[in-house]
Amino acid sequence: MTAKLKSARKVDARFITQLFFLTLIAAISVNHSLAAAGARIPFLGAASVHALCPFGGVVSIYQYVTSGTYVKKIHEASFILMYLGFGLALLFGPVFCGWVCPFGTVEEWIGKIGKKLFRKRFNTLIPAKLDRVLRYLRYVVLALVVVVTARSGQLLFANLDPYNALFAFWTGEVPRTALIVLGVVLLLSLAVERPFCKYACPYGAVQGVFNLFRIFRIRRNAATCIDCSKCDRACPMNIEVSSRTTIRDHQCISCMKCTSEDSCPVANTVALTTGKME
Amino acid sequence: MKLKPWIVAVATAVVVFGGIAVTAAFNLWRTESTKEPAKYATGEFAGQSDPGDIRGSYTFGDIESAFGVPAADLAKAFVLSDAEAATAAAFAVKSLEGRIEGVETDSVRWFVALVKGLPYTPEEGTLLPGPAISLLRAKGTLSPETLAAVEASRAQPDASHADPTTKESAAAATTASAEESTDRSIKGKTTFREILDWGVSKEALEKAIGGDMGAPGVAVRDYCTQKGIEFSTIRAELQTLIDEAE
Repeated sequence: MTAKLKSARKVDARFITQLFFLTLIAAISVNHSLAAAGARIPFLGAASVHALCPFGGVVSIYQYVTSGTYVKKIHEASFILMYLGFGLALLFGPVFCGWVCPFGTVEEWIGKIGKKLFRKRFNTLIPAKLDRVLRYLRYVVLALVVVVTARSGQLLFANLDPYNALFAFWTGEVPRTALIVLGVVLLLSLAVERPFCKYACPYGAVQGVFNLFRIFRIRRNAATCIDCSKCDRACPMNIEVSSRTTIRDHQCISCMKCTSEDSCPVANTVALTTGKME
Repeated sequence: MKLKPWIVAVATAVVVFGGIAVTAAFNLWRTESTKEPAKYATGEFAGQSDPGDIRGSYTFGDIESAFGVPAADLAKAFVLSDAEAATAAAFAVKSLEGRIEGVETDSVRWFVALVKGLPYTPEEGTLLPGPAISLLRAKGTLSPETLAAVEASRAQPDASHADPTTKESAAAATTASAEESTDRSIKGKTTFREILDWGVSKEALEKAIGGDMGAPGVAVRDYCTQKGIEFSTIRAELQTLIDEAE
């Protein structure tokens, strides 16, 4: 009973945060369309989805430094969100990915349906060896997008961005290629947990680097660990938490599902912490 | 120091919304373009607005404010319907997408650059509608090479993409551009520039009209009205020169 209550309390904080940001972005996206039609919900922003994506700041860095202008469709808000995302990542790692990103949230929640449908076969679609290699694909995507955007001044990723597609598909302005990517990712989410985050997200790739030196890290106390592997099963990014004492994996999204606050049954064994676990 | 999930949740919200609030207080938080294009930093045009910074969110009114190109001219150049032209200042550049193949935001950038005599290299595949080319020709400031490049980028209106309200305009533009490209008969709106483009030398033209032609963008009829000359007489002589030049 106590463990169930503990688990429910801990899940709620992250669930509520994810639900809040998903609802907020969805509402602002709808309001953006309403504003374009001459009617809008008062007291609610009406920014475009591009303006609320921190990755826009990343791809615009080169153009901003060299010419003082932004890549088309990108504004100051993207830069500011980029800096805020980096600040959070320096502190806690990619909490943006695990707590804020509405697209990651949608993938995760579709994954819950997939878990119920496929049970033990969920997350086994891609063979382990191939999966290990594919985890680095998002750095290739990052490099391609940044270089091509820097050379052309055009937002190449807009043609493929499933985040924009999800929150603007009703506008008729989303490229067909992006809608296809969205459909594939959502379908894949039924069989693989967070597929876009794992294999293709360029912003996740940038955020993941911060896991090497974040101030608060996921740490495991080997002395109190009972090797039940519940942390491994709970991890949406399939990190083997039980085999490490400090998680520096570039794929960790700081969701805290592996910690004693959530799936780990032993108190003070896995935690997001500054110092060593004793 | 171990963190509980609710602390991470609160810290995340504080950083995100606190950061937005602070930047908004300093007027740094912007989610849409200011409609003030960047300016050329160096060179001959330093300090002037750069048409390359025109975005899809700009309206024809924004372009008029920034570059001095009248919204009415833009409406005519880009084949807006009568209803749209009536509120041309509020027409967003990105609304051109999907109407005429090859005519999108980059077409507007190129057109404005050509009108203002500013440097701009259009993207591959960028086209201009016939009326835009006619306006540029009438302006009479483009070099023959530039005019040839512009002519080579003439768009064909695509009626299947056009909004019903623009179909009449698109059809008219198709007819007009077809006429413009093959018909070399002098009409009331024919300009001296067009006659020069059709191969008539400036000397022969001025001999036919009996004086200095002045600005090449002037229509022949208007010149005749100004000088008190019978248009039909001049037209016949000029038409002979055009026919001989073919």
